[in-house]
Amino acid sequence: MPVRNDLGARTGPRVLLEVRGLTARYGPVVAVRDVDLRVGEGEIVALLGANGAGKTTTLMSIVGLHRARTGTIELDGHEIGHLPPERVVRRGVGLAPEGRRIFAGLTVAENLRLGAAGAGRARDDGRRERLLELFPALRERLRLPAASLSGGEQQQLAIARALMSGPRLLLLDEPTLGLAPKLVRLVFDLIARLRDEEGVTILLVEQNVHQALRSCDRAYLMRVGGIEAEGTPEELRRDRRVQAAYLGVPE
Amino acid sequence: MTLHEFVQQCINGLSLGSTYALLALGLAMLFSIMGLINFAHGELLTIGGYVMWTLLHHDVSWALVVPATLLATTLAAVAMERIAFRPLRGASIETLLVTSFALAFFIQTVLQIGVSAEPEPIAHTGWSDRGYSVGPYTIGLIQIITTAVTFAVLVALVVFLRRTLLGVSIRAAAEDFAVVRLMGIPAGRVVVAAFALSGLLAGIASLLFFASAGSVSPTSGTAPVVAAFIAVVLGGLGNLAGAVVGGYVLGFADQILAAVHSSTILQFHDAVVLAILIGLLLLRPQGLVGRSRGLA
Repeated sequence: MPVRNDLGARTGPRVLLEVRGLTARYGPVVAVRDVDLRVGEGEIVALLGANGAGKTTTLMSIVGLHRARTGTIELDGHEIGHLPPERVVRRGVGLAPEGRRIFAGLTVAENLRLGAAGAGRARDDGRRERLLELFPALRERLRLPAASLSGGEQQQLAIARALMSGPRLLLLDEPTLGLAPKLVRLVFDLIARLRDEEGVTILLVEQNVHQALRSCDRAYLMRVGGIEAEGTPEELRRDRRVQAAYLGVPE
Repeated sequence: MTLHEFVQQCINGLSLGSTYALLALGLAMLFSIMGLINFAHGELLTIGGYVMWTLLHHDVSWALVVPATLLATTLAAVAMERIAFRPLRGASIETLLVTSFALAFFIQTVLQIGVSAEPEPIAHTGWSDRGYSVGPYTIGLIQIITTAVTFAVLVALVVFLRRTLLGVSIRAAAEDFAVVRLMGIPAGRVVVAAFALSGLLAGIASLLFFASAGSVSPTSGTAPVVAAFIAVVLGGLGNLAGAVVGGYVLGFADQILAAVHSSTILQFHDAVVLAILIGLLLLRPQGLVGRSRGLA
């Protein structure tokens, strides 16, 4: 039973993303089963869980890259589940995908330029300048091939690229995977600043449960394709299943 | 063969090498973006040839033949994408390959029935036989023009791929197609642009090729597209610079072997060319230039 599944009863921020009854398959294999989740405007929400819990498939379904699925996905009250990824992005969703997936053969500047392609009319409002202030490491490397960046810099590029289109909702898939502890803190600092200074709503997939619970407003815990628990960080820290599985507290 | 003859044959091979290089560029681009080895690419060359034949036959001036040919091959490439390949988006490399063969045979058959299976003469331009002496070597005007045009096209292509948003999108799509869509860029537009570009390059190859070939037949494109495919493999699959280098190496090799004039070797001309290819790939499996550098 979920810790708490009555978010609707709580007076909170306006709902920006609402996913209902999401089921996603890879052929006969059900990867995500009947998932409901909500992200309020200005929130940082974490999607936690082990490898294979269905977190990435959930994000891929939201942006329209995973098509074999049922259920509804609404952005700001409008159904986006039927749209191809390029249209979802143009509606104001950015994704920094798992494994960064920067264009390694392109320069840093070219990666950012492509990121702005989905901005539509709101293009080039000095956004790149503001992002380069947030990500100073990228400014010095604008003309270099993205392949030459370090792991942490590549992650910053992936996030900056997703922000170039000026999204209302930023989806981050394992942004700290493979990063040194110091860089993990840097990325989480950035996430907090993006929300506080840029007003971006963030849905974050993380395996680093400790760090994620320190930074998010609410979290969902996924297990074998379904939502197992949901609540604020304090509520989840008190949850026995979370303690046993992720926080090293014996059951 | 003396060194003098060798150099002379390389000069003579410039024309052929340019044709191969231009065709190979189109093949390499489509392969790197969508995993398609488009054997119907040779039919674009053929279609260009028939447009030239029709127009020149009716005494249309070259000032019109050039844009009409380029337009025809570009539109034909876009039509190929729309009719044959778009319904198969995301299909396996084998499916795409078989489809491209089917498309090639279809176009050849239509031309055989609709026009003729026999070669049709394309009037030689007055200037295509002109030649100049440079020291001990003779260089034809057609070689100068084809090489100059090919290099101008290469420069223009690199500028396009580096400076324009569409060009950068095409390079990005060659790396990671799904993420290009995550940038809000419609996948369809990038693919159509790549096809159009490959058609334009084939049109340029067509003009240069048939200006000296003398005739066009429904199967005119077959040998060049096989050569261009070899050039792509030789240069490093999906690498544009490699495709150009591969095209010229093959053009030179073709010309030198043809000049050896030994009937025994001439008989095994293709076998010799392919043996050289196998040898080179054994030495450099990644191709002459290499696979990893991506587009431009």
